[in-house]
Amino acid sequence: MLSQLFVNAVIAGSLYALVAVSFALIYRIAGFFHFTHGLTFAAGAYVTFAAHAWLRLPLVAAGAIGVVAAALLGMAIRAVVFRSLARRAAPPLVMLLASLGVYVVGQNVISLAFGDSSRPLGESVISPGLAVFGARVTEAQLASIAVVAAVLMGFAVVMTTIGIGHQIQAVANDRELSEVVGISIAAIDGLVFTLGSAMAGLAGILWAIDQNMTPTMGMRALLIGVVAMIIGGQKTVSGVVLASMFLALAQNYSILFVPTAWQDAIVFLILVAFLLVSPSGFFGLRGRRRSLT
Amino acid sequence: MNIRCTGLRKSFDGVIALGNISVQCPTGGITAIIGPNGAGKTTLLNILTGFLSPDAGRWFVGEREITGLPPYKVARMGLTRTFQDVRLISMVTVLENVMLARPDQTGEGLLHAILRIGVAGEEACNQREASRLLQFVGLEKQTNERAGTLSYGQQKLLTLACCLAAQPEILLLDEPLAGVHTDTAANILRLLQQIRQNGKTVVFVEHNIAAVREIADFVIVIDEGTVVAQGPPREVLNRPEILEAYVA
Amino acid sequence: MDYLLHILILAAIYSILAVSLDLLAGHAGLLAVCQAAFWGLGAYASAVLTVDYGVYFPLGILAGMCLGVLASFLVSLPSLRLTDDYFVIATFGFQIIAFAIFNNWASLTRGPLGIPGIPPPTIFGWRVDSQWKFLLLAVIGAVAAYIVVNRISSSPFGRVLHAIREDEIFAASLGKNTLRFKVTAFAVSAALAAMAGSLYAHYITYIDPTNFTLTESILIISMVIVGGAGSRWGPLTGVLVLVVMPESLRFIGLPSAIAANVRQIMYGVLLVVMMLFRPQGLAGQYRFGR
Repeated sequence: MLSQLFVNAVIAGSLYALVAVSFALIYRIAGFFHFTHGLTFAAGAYVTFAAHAWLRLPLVAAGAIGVVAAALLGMAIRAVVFRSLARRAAPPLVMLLASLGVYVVGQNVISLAFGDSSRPLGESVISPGLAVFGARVTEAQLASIAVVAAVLMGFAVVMTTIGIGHQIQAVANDRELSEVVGISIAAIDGLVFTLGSAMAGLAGILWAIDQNMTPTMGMRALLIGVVAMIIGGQKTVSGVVLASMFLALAQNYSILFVPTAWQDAIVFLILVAFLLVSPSGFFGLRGRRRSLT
Repeated sequence: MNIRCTGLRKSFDGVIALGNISVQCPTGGITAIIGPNGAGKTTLLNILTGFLSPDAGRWFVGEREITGLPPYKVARMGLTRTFQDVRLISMVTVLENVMLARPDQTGEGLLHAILRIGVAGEEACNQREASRLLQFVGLEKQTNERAGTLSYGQQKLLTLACCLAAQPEILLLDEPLAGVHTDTAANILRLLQQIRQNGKTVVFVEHNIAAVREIADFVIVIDEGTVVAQGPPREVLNRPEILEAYVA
Repeated sequence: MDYLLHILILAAIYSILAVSLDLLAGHAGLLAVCQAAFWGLGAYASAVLTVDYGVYFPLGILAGMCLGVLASFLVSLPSLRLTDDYFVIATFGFQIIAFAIFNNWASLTRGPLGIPGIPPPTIFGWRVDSQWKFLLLAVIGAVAAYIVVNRISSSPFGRVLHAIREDEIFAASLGKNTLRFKVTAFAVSAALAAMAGSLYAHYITYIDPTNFTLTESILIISMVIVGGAGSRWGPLTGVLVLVVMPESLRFIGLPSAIAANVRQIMYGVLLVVMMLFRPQGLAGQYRFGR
């Protein structure tokens, strides 16, 4: 039992990590909280479903279409909504509210098109799976963990060793200086939205395969991913991964003590506890978005 | 009341901003803190007013220790400040900015706000006092204009009025003359001298050495996080090494 | 006619919610997305006390409001130190925790089954057992909430809130204990929302956790934003646009299965359009983060 919970936690944690890392990627560049990340997550799953169940494409091909669709959706939302707002010099809270509006529209469109009930993605194959330390892991679950691990490691490698990764880091750390040096902020912004949305879409597909999909899956996953980002710190992939695993372990092991329905609340209780003990800057005062220099 | 600190140390990510600073600003006089950019002057100000936590050190207002107090408590102890970037409430009027600064308002209590017992009288008094201060700094004509519409120099005068409205014993001003027209600068210097005459202590950070010569009673020179020199301006500002490094 | 009264009563209750959230989001500049949690808290408190313990209605409202205040401390103290984006997320989190409590603490709240049979209120012998009487009660509540928030925002207390909204560092440098002001505003906001909850529970006579979800909180904040945060008539304008107007959907004859989704899509589109073209809201002047 305990080892099964551990296995479940690793699977969930890996997906939280993918959501969190992709969210942080965009957040650090765009500078505002884009709720639409939850939408690209769900869109990946639902488009894959449509391609697989309605168009009869094999799951992997459908999945590829889903990832591309998520990326395109992220780009489109950015082009239509976020860039228009940026041109009007909208402050981050206004961007947040707009993204929330877009998310609400998207979630309800999914609801209209696919219905509210929980659906599986892919055929549920009743397979005994492999036995690992007394727990059962299916081939699909192993594949999911492998895919996430590969994507996150590849991401970390790109960010630290390849030129474009350095450019992204530069913009995230010092926007003005990056511009002076000749990096195109708009291009980097567009790139991270595309890449981040694709990663979110992938996470959504893997999630749906493992756990079923509902129209509200995006918000749920997003909020957990954000908590992982807050606890793990925005700056390193490993910090976020550790935090994601921690949250997933806490969620899964908590069912030994409380009913499973509390799992989502557990994540936020952990966030509250974290906030209570972490230090705040400037006695927690917010200035007019300028630091006290 | 004087303001003093002992053993203040602060570093940011391994870079030393303040390395063991101990200074004392004389009561009832005007002290100027000068030094090159990045010397740590604003860091010092932020620590003294509670906006930044140092790595070590203690600081006092008069006999009372204010180490580690949050900014609002420091202000209530009689120490108010201005900021390098002018901070104001741009969306309300000049008068309201100054009325905001008035201390001990019963109208700021929830019950009094809802039930309005005795608030009207106090507000009338606040308004009178605020108007008096606006007259003092020369902004009475702008009383009912939105603070955001003022010129930069006028905004600096407004922040000075707000500082005074809070009824401090000590004023800490971060570059009060920076970026203002020479007429306004002269005006501000005159006002500071009057404030000194009224018995307050003034400490200001400045780059304008002529101004420092004109009104300061005491000068502290800070460079790379340490006190390089301190004393009356005649003495400090005429030392060859100071002249060379900072004045020329 | 019955239906019109129903809309007006709902509008009055939502007005309390919008006005109370405006104190926090509009006047203090704290974008909180958990108002439905306090609303639900007041509703459940009133419902449980009257249904299970036969408590007198006014005491039930009072108990709900006290509970709201206490709960607000649990929310405000950890989250007020956070900057804008993270503060919003923390309030999302509390909304989710609240829903989990409503849904899972079955011994107290009867969980997903909800609480049926909430009796009509009786106040000092006046039995509120018709829609007209309830409308009167709801309007009294709405007017009271409006007066409280208006009084606060136009007082020196409100002056400090507005200062905190624009530049908290400046307010602190003038000796204002900004945390106290923010926590107090939060508590008043929660208490008023809880009051709306009590009224709501006794009006619809059956509540369950799905009445008080994240979706509802997003609706309430949308009312405040679309109407105009921090302005006198903003919240009420928001209620008009987001509660009363969508009712016209019923007359178009959409099947109820999709009506809810279409209504939500309208809210979302309205929010985006407002942010693009008039972020200060229809009746407002304040734009977040200026």
